[in-house]
Amino acid sequence: MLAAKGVRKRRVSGSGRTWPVYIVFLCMLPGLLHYLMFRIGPSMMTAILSFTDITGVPNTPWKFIGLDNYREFLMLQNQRDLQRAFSRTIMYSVSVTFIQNALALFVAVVINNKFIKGRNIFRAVYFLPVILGVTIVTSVWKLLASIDGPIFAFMQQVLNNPAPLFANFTYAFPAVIGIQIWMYMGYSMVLYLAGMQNISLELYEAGYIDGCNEWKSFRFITFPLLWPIITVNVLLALIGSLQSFEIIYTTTQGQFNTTTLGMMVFATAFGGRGATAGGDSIASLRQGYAASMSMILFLGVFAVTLFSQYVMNKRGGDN
Amino acid sequence: MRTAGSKTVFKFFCYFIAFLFLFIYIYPLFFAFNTSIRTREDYLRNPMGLTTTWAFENYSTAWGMAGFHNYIFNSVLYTVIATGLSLMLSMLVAFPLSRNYIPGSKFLYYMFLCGIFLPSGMIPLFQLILNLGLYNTRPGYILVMTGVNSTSVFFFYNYIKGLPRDLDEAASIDGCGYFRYVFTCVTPLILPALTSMGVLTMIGVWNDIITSTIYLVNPDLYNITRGLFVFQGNYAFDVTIRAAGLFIVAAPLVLVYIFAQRYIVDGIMAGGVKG
Repeated sequence: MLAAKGVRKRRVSGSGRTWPVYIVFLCMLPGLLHYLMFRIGPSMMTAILSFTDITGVPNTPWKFIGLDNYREFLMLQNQRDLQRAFSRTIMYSVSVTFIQNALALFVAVVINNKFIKGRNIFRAVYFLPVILGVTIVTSVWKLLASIDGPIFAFMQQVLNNPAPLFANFTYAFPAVIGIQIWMYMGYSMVLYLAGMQNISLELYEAGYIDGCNEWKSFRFITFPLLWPIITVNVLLALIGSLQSFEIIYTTTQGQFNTTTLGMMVFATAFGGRGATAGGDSIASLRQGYAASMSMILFLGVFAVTLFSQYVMNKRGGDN
Repeated sequence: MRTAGSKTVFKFFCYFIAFLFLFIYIYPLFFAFNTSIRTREDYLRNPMGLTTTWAFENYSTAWGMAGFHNYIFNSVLYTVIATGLSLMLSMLVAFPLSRNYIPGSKFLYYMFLCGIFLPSGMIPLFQLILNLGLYNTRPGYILVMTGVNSTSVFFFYNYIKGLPRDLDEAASIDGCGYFRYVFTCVTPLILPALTSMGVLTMIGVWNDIITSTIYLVNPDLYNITRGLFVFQGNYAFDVTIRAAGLFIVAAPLVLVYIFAQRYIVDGIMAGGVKG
């Protein structure tokens, strides 16, 4: 009995006998270690580094300085600067989340109509910017905004503001938001389209017999059944846009009133123009300080995620 | 009830919206392409007009000016190694977890799932690479980009669940080693999942700009997007050349997209809806 137990123990569990556990584990180890060292570990360590004055300059001594980083960021720093970065982050995130999802849902419903021919082509084109990536997408828009380009002409003649788009204190920020939406609308749309494939056509037929028009069948069939996917999409966009700074970095580098918190963290830690909300750089790469900013950003994202999930679940229950 | 007339209006409206968005998405790309095949004089005469020239020499000029051959070499190297490693490691993690072959499989599975929600830890990661002496080196950059992707683990985990367990037992009784089994028997069976995640990882690595900005200082090590970014800055006023450079970088992506669209969409849905 005991001997049999011992044999079983050395083998992997399950009905039949397969490979010894140690071999299975050994093969898994590199992946596990990589994940712990390069993903989970650093993620946790951010909290610890936020209490130090560590810099990005190699071979410089560093020490724990308690809450000084947080105090400096929240109290001592120029209050107006901080407020501007906070409100800009919220504006960026809220407008991206709402507009992107509203457009994506609208477009998905439109091209999901049975009579639309070439749906795959529409879908493929709307999704293209996601594949092309941030650098190419912003390069395209920078090209459109270059001197004598269409955006430049539009700004000169209609908006009466001749400063180039990505060096424009008024319009650079809305432009960055616009590019973010342009780029990721297709992503949300693909998820909505996929969700709509799972809604039974019989429901629409029943609705048709009961006299639903297009709006009503959207309002009372598509929308409630799509609610779980809407929740996921909104949360993804919210979390993504609160932290995202790639588009800001590749267009304005945080200058011209475009710095958000994510951009500030990056610029403070690794050098760049967006280290303050005004678009200035900090000479020494203050990574401990940046870590404290990133912790505050993370707490914000966490709170917003929980709150919106709560609200959306409650809303879903009502439907 | 609706009439035939209102039905037509509705159809027209839907097509109108679909084509309007098509225009919004195509026009910027078309403008860039149109610009890329114009001579400088032709562009300056009428920046917004259609091209009257077919100046494909812009492409060779851009290639020469930016030194794209070096960037492309780097990018291919980074993409192939990082994607290959990432898939291999993720698969070796996902398989035993999915089969419950390891004590604590459930715990490890949730640990990998956490990765989707945890913040990126950019700063400690930088310190780690710096202290390992891998800053500004190819191996350092590849290590950071490899990432045993939570989405991949999750995707493979679910996919492997669908494979019959009898197969494992039959293979192990016949004396097939574990490593060999995973790579010769499991791999072909989960090929669609591997392709989906492979293509997505590849695109992610190829398009990376932030990580290469952080870790690569030496221009000889730049990947192609970083190369493009620097090139765009250096030749800000050479619009036609910039446009050509942009399409040199975009071409491989568009090709991959055309051939692997189905896998990309599958991967996105797996990562987005469930993850």
